[in-house]
Amino acid sequence: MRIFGKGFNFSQDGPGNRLVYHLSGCNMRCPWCSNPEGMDMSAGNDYTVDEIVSECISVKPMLFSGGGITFTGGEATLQWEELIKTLSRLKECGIHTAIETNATSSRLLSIAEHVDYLIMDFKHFDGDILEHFTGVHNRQIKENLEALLKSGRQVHIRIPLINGFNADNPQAFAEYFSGLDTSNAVFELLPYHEYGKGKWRTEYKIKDGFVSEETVKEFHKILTAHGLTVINT
Amino acid sequence: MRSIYKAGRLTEMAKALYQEERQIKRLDGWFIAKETEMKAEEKYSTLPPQVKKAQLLCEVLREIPISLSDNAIFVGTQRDAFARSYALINPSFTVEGFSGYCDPMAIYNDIEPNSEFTAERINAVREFASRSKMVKMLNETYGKAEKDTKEVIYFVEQVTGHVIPDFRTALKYGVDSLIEDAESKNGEFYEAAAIALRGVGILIDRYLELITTQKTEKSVERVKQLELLEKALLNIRHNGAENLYEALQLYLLLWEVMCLEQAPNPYAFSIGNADRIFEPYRKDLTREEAGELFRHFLVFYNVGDRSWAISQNVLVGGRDVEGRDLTNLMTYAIMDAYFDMNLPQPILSVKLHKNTPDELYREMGRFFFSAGVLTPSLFNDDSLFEILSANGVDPVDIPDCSIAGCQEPLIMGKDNANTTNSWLSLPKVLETVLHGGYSAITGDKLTDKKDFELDNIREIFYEALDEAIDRMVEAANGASVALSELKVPFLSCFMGGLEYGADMRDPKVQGTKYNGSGCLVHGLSVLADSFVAIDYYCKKYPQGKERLVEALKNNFEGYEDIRELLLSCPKFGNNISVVDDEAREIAIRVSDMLKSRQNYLANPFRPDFSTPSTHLTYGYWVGATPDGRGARDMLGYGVDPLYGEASNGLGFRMLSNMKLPFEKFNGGYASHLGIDPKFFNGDDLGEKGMQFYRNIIMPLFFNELQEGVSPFYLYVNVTTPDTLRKVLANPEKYAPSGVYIMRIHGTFVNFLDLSPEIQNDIITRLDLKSTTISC
Repeated sequence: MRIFGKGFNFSQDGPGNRLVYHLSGCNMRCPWCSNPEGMDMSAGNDYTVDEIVSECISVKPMLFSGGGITFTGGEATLQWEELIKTLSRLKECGIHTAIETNATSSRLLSIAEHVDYLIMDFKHFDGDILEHFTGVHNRQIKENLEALLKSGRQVHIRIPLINGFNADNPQAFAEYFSGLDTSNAVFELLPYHEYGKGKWRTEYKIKDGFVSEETVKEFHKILTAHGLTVINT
Repeated sequence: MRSIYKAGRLTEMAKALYQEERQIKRLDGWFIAKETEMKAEEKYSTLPPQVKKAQLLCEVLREIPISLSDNAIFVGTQRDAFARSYALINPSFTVEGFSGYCDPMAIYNDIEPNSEFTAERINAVREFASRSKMVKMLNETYGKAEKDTKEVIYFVEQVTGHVIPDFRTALKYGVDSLIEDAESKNGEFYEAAAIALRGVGILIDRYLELITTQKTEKSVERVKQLELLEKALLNIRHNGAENLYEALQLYLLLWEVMCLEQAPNPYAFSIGNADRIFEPYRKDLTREEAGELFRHFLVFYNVGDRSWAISQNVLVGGRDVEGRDLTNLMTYAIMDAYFDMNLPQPILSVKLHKNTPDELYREMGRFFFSAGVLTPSLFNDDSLFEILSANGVDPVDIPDCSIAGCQEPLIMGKDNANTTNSWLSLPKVLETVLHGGYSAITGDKLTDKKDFELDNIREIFYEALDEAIDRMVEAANGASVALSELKVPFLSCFMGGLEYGADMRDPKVQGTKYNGSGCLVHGLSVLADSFVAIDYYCKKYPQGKERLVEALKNNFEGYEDIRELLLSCPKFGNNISVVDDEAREIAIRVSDMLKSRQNYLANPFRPDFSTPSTHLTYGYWVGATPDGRGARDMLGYGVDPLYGEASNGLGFRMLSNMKLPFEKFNGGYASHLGIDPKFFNGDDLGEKGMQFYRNIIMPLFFNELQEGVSPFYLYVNVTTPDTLRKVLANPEKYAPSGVYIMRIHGTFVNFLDLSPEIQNDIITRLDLKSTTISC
């Protein structure tokens, strides 16, 4: 498994205190990405599944408050074989697992079976706009989301709010989601930030991505009005 | 009070008073005190030593010049007890020039002669002091230990200050009640105690006279203020305090007398759990009003242009025996005062426990996440309860656990822990073993030679350490007994003396409920990394002992391959069992060795794994070590990994830390995290405080998966090297007030006041790679 970063945080990428692995490589090219150093599959170092599992076991005392291990990226599902192996082994060890994914993988459902907590991005309801900005259409993402919800699985859906990209139409987001059975889903709004800006080696193309507090509140209000559960982590 | 001081007026005056204090460049009061004692010596020469000391104290209180600024709302100062001596805030401090602060005569070099304090006058007092029994005994002790102390295998010192007096009874019932108590009992100590306690009255009467004079010449507004002060002084002259104003005033006068008794430089007296001490007197004052009064209390603790009195600790928060939270409105009033004043002294510490309210964490957010603002050090009260009770402290006393000095947990009014009595450098002991008793720095012979092989290095090291500790204990006890020649009847009244009938320093009768002697242990991570590196080296080069020793002797010059191998071995701080377990084992063995040694009153030594900047100064005297560290480089700070060796981020570093045997560290320990503020993105400072709690405090202090006793101490600096370099390059822009507070060891410092070497140490030890959080 190729990994370009790791570290702990509390409750930001799944429940409790978690060790978060950043897996190298991503199939999207989001211009606001906060971990651009991991976009390329060549970034980072290789670890065997055994090495990862043994490290996860050794950090158990840090996985308090119902914490565990989260695999994110880059895009974690690009390394799906190793990921599934690792997730299964961790499950055997009784360690809680989560993935954080852009949900573009056609194999997402098969991976989802092995994780305790699934976090997926839903960046835009309009596939063409998404493709224009990131290079990837949302067809597969919607298909995955709908299948996950249909299966009754828990899903934690994250919407990054970026001025000039998706922050002007909360109604359309809400209408799309309210057509689905979201009884096991929670939604989280992630206002644009620039923590990763300094890490870009090529031009950082977002000029004014920040959204106002009012915009966030408006999204919150409209999603909630459509019966959707909005959380903060 | 409200009619005299409108909202904001007290704060305005406190800030002006502090600015006045920072203009003071000369500190001559301590010299006047010593000279007064010298002159009165003969008058009292026939009295028993304790009584004589009490009389000399009263002489000083009669003679010491007094003044009262128009911005002061309280009388009193501790300025006359301190000299411009403390090394780390002295701009001329250098690592190589640091020789400890043990020489009782060195202080006479800190006073610059002028037309009033002539060289002749200074020499007369110096000469008189050099003939004292204490100085002779101390010199004898140092003489015997010189071979060990000159390159710091260990170091010893006489400990003044470093305790927490319990003034609560005096505040409640008045000083007269204590005098009556002393007078009702027989013996030299009680006679001395009654005389010394009367010193407070001497001082109050002098201030009352001064106020009477000032009243005739001041403005209407000031006269009203002086009348209020006069009224308070007249009440506390004989009675207990009736309100917060009186309580704070009486407290400060007691403090002044206590410090003058030990002038010069009674460092690190602490205030204790200030919110609990003063809350009963707050009565109908609001948080804002109490906070305004407390601002003046804070100013008192700053001496001269660089706040020369150091390591004075104010605690807030904490729990009772049952685990109930003890924060109160005064807690928050005190925090308001601290935040607004942002002074280098006194230092703020917060006791936390699993029932600490979120509100306190939210309050702390503004301290941690405002640039250049002081940050409280953090104590885990739940752990302190476990550790102190396991080490013989009566559970009912533990809520009164306070911090004397930097991080040493002591019981207020009951514990003379002689905290900085001895200092031990583990890597220097290893060096003497590896080099046949010779120093790798100077080539001097320091100890006897011991035969060893690389595969039995631990055994031989512990044998050498055992012998070094024996020598250290003898010297340390020598210093304590020498110091007992300087009696402290006044302080002893607030340390249990009125119950036990003995001076708190008495070397034969225990004058406090608890007593011990501290040993500050240096170089834990360097030693652990070194042992493990030797094992790896040995596996690769079973016959390579001579070459390794040569490499170390030559500071790896010409042996770069060996250094590379040693540096590549596992290092403490990365959650790697082999080396973390080694550190744990060392900490256990060294602690047990120290605890098995008896101090001058046959009580155990207390292991304290802290290194108050001495990781630099002692590191300077240690040659290259088998972990790959270069000669004269710094040692690890406290129990922390060596700078640069923990590169996997905060969680991994904490995991290594959590394996240490905190239950053994009843003398205390030090640990510091440099935190990059970028990881905390809460909407406001309160929310950032909660994020700090969740990502740092909770995993470290209140982690339900921790086996054994949880860590109990941490201090942080939330900033980046880049920010600090900007502050240094452009202080007018980044610190317009001239004050930019950082923490160094257990004390606040004005970053701009520090010597360049210490500034650089602070920047280096931020070590942000070791504290990254995932985001």
